[in-house]
Amino acid sequence: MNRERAETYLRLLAEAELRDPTRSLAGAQSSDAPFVVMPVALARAAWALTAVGALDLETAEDILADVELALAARIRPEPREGVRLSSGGPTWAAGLTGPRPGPQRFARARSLVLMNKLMPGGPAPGPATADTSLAGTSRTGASPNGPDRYVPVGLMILFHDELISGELDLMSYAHTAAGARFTATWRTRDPLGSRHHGLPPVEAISVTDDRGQRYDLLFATKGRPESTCDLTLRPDPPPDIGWLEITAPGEQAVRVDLGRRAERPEPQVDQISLSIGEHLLNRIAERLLSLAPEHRLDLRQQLAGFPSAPAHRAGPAGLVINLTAGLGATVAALEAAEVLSPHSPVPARLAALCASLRIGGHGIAATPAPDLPEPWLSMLTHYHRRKPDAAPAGDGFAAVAAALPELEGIRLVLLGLHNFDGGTWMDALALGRLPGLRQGPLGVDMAFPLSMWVRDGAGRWHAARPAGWYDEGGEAALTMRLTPPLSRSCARIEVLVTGRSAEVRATLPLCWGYSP
Amino acid sequence: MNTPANGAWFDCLPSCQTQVPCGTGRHAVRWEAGSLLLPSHADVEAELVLAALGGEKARCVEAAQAWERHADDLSVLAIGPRGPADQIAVDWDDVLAAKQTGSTVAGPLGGPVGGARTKPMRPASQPGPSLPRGGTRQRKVPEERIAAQRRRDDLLSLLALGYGFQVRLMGQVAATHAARLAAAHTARGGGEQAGSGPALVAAITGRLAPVAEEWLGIDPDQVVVSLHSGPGWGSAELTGRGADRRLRVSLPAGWLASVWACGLARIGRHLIVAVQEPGWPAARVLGLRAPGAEPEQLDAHASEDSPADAPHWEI
Repeated sequence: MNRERAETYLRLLAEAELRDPTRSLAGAQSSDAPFVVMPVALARAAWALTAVGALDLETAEDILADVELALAARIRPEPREGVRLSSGGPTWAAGLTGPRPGPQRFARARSLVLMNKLMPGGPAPGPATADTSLAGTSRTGASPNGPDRYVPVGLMILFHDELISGELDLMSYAHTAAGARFTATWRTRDPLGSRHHGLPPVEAISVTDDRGQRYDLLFATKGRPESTCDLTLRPDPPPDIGWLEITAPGEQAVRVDLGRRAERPEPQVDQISLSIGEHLLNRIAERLLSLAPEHRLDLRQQLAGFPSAPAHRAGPAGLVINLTAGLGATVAALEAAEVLSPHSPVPARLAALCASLRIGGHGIAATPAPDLPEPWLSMLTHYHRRKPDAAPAGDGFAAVAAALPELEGIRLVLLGLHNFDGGTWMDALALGRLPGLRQGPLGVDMAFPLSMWVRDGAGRWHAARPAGWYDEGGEAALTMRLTPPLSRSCARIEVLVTGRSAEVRATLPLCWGYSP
Repeated sequence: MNTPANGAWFDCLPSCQTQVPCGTGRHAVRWEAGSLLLPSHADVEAELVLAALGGEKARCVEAAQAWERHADDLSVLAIGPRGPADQIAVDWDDVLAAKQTGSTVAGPLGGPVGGARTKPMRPASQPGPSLPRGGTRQRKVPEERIAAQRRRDDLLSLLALGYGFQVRLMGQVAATHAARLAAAHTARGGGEQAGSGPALVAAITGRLAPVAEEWLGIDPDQVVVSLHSGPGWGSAELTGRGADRRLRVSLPAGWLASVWACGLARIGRHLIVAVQEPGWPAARVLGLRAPGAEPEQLDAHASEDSPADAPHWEI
């Protein structure tokens, strides 16, 4: 990694943008609109360089702040007639005039330079070697003496009283240093049978173990979607209990057998070597692949109208344009920082992906690659063949409990899979070198160093993207959203987790349960 | 108030003067031989004492203090003009307006636009406190906001002084960093550049590119600059064809001060790469007729109608 070249690249890009300051004039005329807009190539390059750790946050902010002031200083506001740009001739002609600014030209209510908002929570982690042994894995930040017990459950706990009825669908039981809990989905109804948003009456549910010890349940969503929760047992049970009996109001006791072992998939671990630049570009591609189906977009129609529309145009198509705008500068910045080889195949694949989605204006110089990775092709096939009005996947849950080998310092434990409201969510626990996940720009977060895909029984691939993260000091509740959603007919999935130094494949059986 | 002279990079520059709204009138502010002079303020120290006791600080004095604070601030190179045609549209009304509104409107990180930073931009290698994070950062937001506001006001005031002062301040900044680079180079016996390298490469590129466009008709995006260190003036060569054409120039950081800031970057058909015998209104310079050619000794003289702000030289 060459930090000096990275900084030089960004500063030279700023110089190039400053040669034509009129391009940065904001079109909006609202009172709090920015007077100038940050050139998208510059913003993307700055983000990419900070995301891979080639440029520190403070330096990037300094450079962008200087550009912002330099642009504003070169454009004199036109006080009376709105937008009137001087045209023709050198762009440095005296008296460039721009739109009448909002409240102030040099002191706005909105800021352009908020790199801290665009940034992952921590520096990009270095590559780590995959450890195929489940025993003895390091758990930085967590107690080394945690029981680490993971059990698939797959039981529905019904409850009802005079005010509320509903169900808790227990997907798994996990006991770690942070405590013992069920991962569950839940739904409630009022007495008329309508869907209800009240919480399940966990305080009225009794839990007893095989030794007669009674427990309370604590309900917490931990950053997960509304339909999912953790039910933590208090006090913490012994690590070797054989079963738990759960009695909900108005229902018979249900026994949860904890003697079942978690799936211990025989993972296939392959060593790979991805540069951090390639890893970033792959993550951008995955985000691009998941955007269209998530928003049920017909990009071909929407983008055909404005292939180079400005990023500030709202709407899902705007998100895609925003994601792809400046990709050429991103690639060039990564090459300048020597974190992406000029011979890397990834930029050409990204260009091919954009071409397949008919997205222009990305600026990638590489010729589109003739072939794409299998998961990308699968997603594209789904996208191109999909029926816009197809019924969404039905609600349901699948019992899963599987610990995957450590990768990039993180060990993932899969604790459930459920369909809700047309989407599929995978619940997991992340143990180890936790990055402090924070949503990056456009949903690309480099702080979480793993890429995850799921292949269903029919061979179709689904991108799994972190959608929620709740850090409990050394372990974190992680929710991933699968795109496209998974069908409840899927009896088996293959999970592919990729870091920079290795990729892990594991096959897991699914046993679905669903609501009446 | 005087700023200390910084070598002889400015020997090819005439003095220049502007009027600054100050109190109820307008006062002259003058630059001469590397120093900023306030002829209307005979006892600046006494005025500062009065200001500290609650009196209003004179704008001339504020401008001179800002000049001192930013005499080695690399942001001055990033924001300032790239050439005489690159006009900065900031006047004293803008300074006043920004000052009046800045206290109520927050920008990046709680500061106003252009003020995400609260301190002058210096190389990352230079020791200094890092930005506070987390809770500490939250507690310091008001302080940061005030500092960022002052920084923005400083930079706007310096821009409002006009082109002549802008290029002279840029010369000062470039000369300061060139001296530091030279000292570091000597101490290391050559090798790696100091942390200001990227900012200086960009600063030279941004100013050389339009000059090269006039000189050779080359696209400014095809100009590639590197920092020259050690003996000699550097090098210049033209490579490739069509879209791959590049003008590769290696110049010392001091070129920005002793050549560009003095208005000497191009004289007639020559790209000026060094000043051999500085002086005003006559100087001996080294000029290239073409990339790859040996530099020629040229006797340059300022044209009679040359404005002090942007000197015009002839051979």
